[in-house]
Order: sequence, then structure tokens, then C-alpha cells
Amino acid sequence: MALKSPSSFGQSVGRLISANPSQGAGLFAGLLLVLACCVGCKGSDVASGSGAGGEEEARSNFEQVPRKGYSRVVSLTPNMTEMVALLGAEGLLVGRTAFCDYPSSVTSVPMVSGGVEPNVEALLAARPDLVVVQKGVDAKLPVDSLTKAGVSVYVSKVESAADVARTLEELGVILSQPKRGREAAAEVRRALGLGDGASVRDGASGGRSGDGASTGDGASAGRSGDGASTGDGASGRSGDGASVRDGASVRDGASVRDGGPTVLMVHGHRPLVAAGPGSWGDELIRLAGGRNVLAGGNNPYPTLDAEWVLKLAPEFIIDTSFAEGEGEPADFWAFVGEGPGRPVLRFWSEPEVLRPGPRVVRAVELLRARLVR
Amino acid sequence: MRNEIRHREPVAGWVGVLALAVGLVVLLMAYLSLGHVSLTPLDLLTGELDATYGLLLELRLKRAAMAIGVGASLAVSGCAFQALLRNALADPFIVGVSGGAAVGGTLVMLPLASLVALGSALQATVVFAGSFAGALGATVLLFGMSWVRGMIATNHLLLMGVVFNFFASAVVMFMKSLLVGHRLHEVLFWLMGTLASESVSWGLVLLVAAIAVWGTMLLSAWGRGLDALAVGEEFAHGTGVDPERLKRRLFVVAALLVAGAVSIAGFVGFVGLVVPHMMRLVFGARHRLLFALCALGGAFFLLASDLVARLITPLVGTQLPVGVLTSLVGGPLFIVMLVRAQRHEVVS
Repeated sequence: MALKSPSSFGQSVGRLISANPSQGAGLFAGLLLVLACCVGCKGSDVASGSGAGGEEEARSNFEQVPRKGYSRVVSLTPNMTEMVALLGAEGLLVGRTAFCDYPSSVTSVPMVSGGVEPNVEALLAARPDLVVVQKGVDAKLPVDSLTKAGVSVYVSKVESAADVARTLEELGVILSQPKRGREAAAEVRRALGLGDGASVRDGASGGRSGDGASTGDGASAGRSGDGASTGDGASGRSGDGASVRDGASVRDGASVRDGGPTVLMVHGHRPLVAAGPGSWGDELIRLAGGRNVLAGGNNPYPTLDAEWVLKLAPEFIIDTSFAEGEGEPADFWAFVGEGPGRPVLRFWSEPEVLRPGPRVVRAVELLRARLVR
Repeated sequence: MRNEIRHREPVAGWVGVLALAVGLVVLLMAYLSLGHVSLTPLDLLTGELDATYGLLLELRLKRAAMAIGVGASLAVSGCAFQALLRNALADPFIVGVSGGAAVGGTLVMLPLASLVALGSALQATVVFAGSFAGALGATVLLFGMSWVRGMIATNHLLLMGVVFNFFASAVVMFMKSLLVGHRLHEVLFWLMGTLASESVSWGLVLLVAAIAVWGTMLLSAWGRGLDALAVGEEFAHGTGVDPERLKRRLFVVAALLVAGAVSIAGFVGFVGLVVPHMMRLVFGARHRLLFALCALGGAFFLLASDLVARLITPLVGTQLPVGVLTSLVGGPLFIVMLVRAQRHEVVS
């Protein structure tokens, strides 16, 4: 059929449909499909909030967050809530998630999220001027729309103790508490032997926020878990949002042998999910002077089976699978056997072990205490 | 000629039963030997194992027993539902019994935090009991709703089963939204289908195996009646078979098989659909031996799939749900067999 004009195209299509309805239906369906693809390819504004491209993804979008006095802050992850409280900005919180429970005073702040997926309507109803969220959870946020509406969004990757220190510093600047942020970050770095790191600059120009010179981006360089680098002294503990520590550093270097005990940290039984390389549990094990038996893998949260556990033969199994208040599920581990040469079981379900936040010093201290026969 | 025909099929069927039984034993030996740690046949036969190897062997034995019981149950129940509904696409998860099992199991997991003090094995038993009760409840409900003027309306049964499954899925999703943390993961993991046996007691495993054996024997005993029913209900009447009574029994036994399998292992897909068809393609459609062939074939198929899943685990760095393997392996295998069978028909 020769198409001379739009009207002749329409006439041709009409003749096609009337002559052969099934072909016509197919044509219509095909047009709808093409239209759907075009709309879908336009994309949405639900996007990663980091805002930084390039070969290496930025750990946060600190540089893109405007520096102004914020008065209404919503936190969409429990660790961010803890950090906001630690920096003395708890009074600015107007929204939190159902899992934000530390310090206890934040439980009076209204909830705007069940925990995994933010309730955008509730979030907007809280009329925030700043939203703080950990990278990963931001995927469900309409970040561009929020920004256009004048709401600043701070997104930070928090996967290591160095990330915690960096985030404390950056949040301190954003929340107009730069000195507290620097001090809190310095305490974490000192207690865990992470090195000073480059400091975060007030203002918007250039430079990345420091994330600890000795540990690099969250995992492999400059290990503090080798029994020597973190100094002496009493324990560092997080208070009720007031300070990271009230003593010196975590390590005394005496009770952890060179090389450290091999550890398997388990977060669930069915499935048997463990802490692999790059996970928060892996970070804690390393900082506590242990060796993660799964360090050689490439999955941060592998699902194991019982045989695999037997083959790994860790010296210690840290079971974090049960909620606070439940009993310890010791009988699940009957398959590892008991006696000399069998793994030592430790049960631990406090939130510090699962939440990459400012209580990391206490978490490392608690884990160290458990890695002793 | 007629006598030759009558005797040829049973011979092929019995050869098939023998071959599958031998194959299953060989596969079982391989299953017990292979894994993260290899056990030699000598280790297995002499029983002189150190503590770790002993633990490994017990784990593998229990898991193998689960795979055999569940695989047999699913394949036999799939064959039964295909005969009952006279629908080649029928499988154990189509008639709503599995939906009831899912609702029952998930309901029990909601307050499970208060049962933690009972221990993992007893928790698993409670979930099994809840799931089994849910499956039985769904069976009674669907049976009652499809009972029309003293007969099972198979079309109604099929439709209501499909609709009930949708309803059960919605209920399960609602309950999932009330769960958090590791409880949610447990429900998801269970629904995906798993043969992880750390928390499951030997009692439950043997119970499911016993149900599989009982169900297979009973259905095989009704094999001749099912062959007549496959031709038609009037034909069945003419041969002295009461089709309604047979359908009732078929439904109840098949439902119990599904209840046992789903309650212990969750939703392991594809076995109940593919294995009966494979057995029919190779050995013919006579039900008396077909159920035994399906039981052995289903056990073999699931055991082999789980062995592959266990062997792949170190390569992919995480444990794969066995249902993934059954679909990945079973699908293409079935298509190849079907195409070959069709070509053979065209040629002959």
C-alpha cells in the first residue's frame, strides 16, 4: 500500500482492520507495545541519590547537599537516626522509620516509614527540609522530585567503620555541628585505629570526604585487625547519643593472638545466611581481630548449607539470627557437634552487631569479648 | 497378538521399575559421597568415620531421605491429579491443596517467636503440623465445593483450585507483610522450596517417606480402575468401576501426598508436572505400574537435582534453592523428550 499522506495511512489501516480483524488486532497490540516501550524508556525519577558518576562511585552525595540551616530532618535508616542524635540534632527530627529505636528518646518522633520502603506520602506530610538515608534504601525514593520540591537529600554508603566516621563528619557539617561531627569521627577512628583520614571541608568546593586513610573505601586496605595497631586502654562505648566513647581504644592487644581466631557470623538459619566479604559482620570480625572464614568469597551475604559450615570449620560461630528477647537457638547447631575441635557457639543479637552506626566501637568490644574460649 | 500386546507393556514397566530402583541406589551412593567434602565408598561402607565425617553423613542421609520422600510424593500426586482431572497440565500445586499448606504454615510462623524456647526441631514440627492442617482444610473445603449432586465435578475442582490458590497467595502475602527480619526470610525461603534439613527431625522425614510409600501402593492398587476412567466414566462403569468413589479416593490420597511434601519442603516446582509425563512417554500410560515409576522417577529426579545444587554451591558462592534446578534441568529435558516422541509418532 503506498502511503501518500497521514490521512491515506489512516485509511489504509482502517481497510486492513476491517478486512482482517485478527491482523488488525495484532497491529493495534504492536502499536501499544511500542508506545509502552517509549514511555518506559523515558525512565523515572526514582534513582540512586548519590548523584556522582564516574568509574568509582562516590561514597556519598555530600558535595551536592546545599549548606543551609536545616530545621526539619527525616531519617530513613536507623543508623542515620543514631548519628543525628549523636551530633546533638535529635530535636530536628520530624520523621523516622519503625526500626529507629536508639537512643530511646527518638521513639517519640513520628514514623514515616515501615523500614524497607519509605512511605513517600507520610514523608512529605512531615514537611522535611532534609532527608538523610543510607545508600541502598534511597533506591525507592523519588530523589529528583524531592530535590525539586526544595527538600535536600543526603545519601551515604555506610558499609564500614571508616564510612561511619566519614558520615559523622559530613552530617556534622550538614547539620551545622561540624565540631561535634569531627570529634565523633575522630573518636571512632582513634578507638578502632583507622587513621586520621582527610577531613571534610565546610563548603561546597572540591575534595572528597575522608574515610580513614588506613582502611580505604570500606574494606581491604590498612587492616586494624592484626593485633597491634589500635592502641591500649579501656573500652569505648556509645552513650545515649552523647558520645562515642568514654574511655580509650578498644584493643589491648593482649588476648587476641596473631592471626586471630577464625569466625563465622550467621544472620539466619533458614536460609543459613552468613556475613561474607564486604558485609558489616565481616568488618566487625576484622576490627575485633578475628578472621572471617568467608573472606575469600565474593558474596557479602552468602547462603550456606550445613555441609559448608562443617567444611569451613570455624573456631567460633557467632549466631545473630534471633531477635532480642527470644531464646538462644542452640539446638539448631546440633549438626556441628560438641567437644574439643568443634566450633564454639556464641549467641548475640544486640542491634550494634547488625547496624553500621556510631556504636561500632561498642560492637567491636562486645565481639572481642566473645572471641575468647 | 492380543496376548503379546497385553504382556509387552507390563514387561517394559517392570524393567523400568528395576532400572530406576537400581539407578536410585547408585545415585544415593553418589549423593552420600559427593559434596563440599568427599566421602569414599569405603568410608560409607565400613562406617569408620571421624566425628566430622559422621556428622556429614548423617546430614546427607537425612537430606537424601527428604529428597526421595518429597520427590516421590510430588510425582505420584501429579500423576494422580492428571488422571483425576484428565488434564495434562495438572500438577500438585494446581488444585489448591498447596495454597492451604502455605496459609497454614505461614500462619503458624507469625507467633513463632514465642515458640523459640521449644527449640528448632520442635518449631519445624509445629510449622509442619500447621502446614499439614492447612492442606487438609483446603482439601475438605475444595472437596465440599466441587461436590455437585453426589459427584465430583472435575471442572469445578480445577477452577476452584486455581482461584483458591490465588486467594491463598494473597493471604500469604498479607501475612508476610506483618513479619520482619529473619522470620520473613524463613517464610520466603520455605515458600521457595528447600531440602535444608538441619532443623527437621528424622521423625518428620520418615513420616513423609511413609506417606509416599503408602500413597504409591494404594494408587497402584487402583491402577486398573484408573485406566478405565481414563477412557471415560461410562466405560469405567461398564467395567465395574465406580468412578465417583474412585475419584474421591484419588483426590484424598493425592492431597495427602501434596500436604506431606509441601509441609516439609515448601514449593518444589516442576517435579509433579514433568516426571509423570516423562514416565508415560517412556513406559506407557498404564497406571498400575505408572505410579511406582513416578515414585522412583520423582525421587531420582529430585535427588539428582539436589546433588547438582549442592555441588554448584561452592562455585556460585551461595546455596541454590532446589526448585531452581528442577526447573532449569527438567524443562529442557522434557521438551527434548516431547519433541523426540512427536517425531517418532510422525515417522511411525
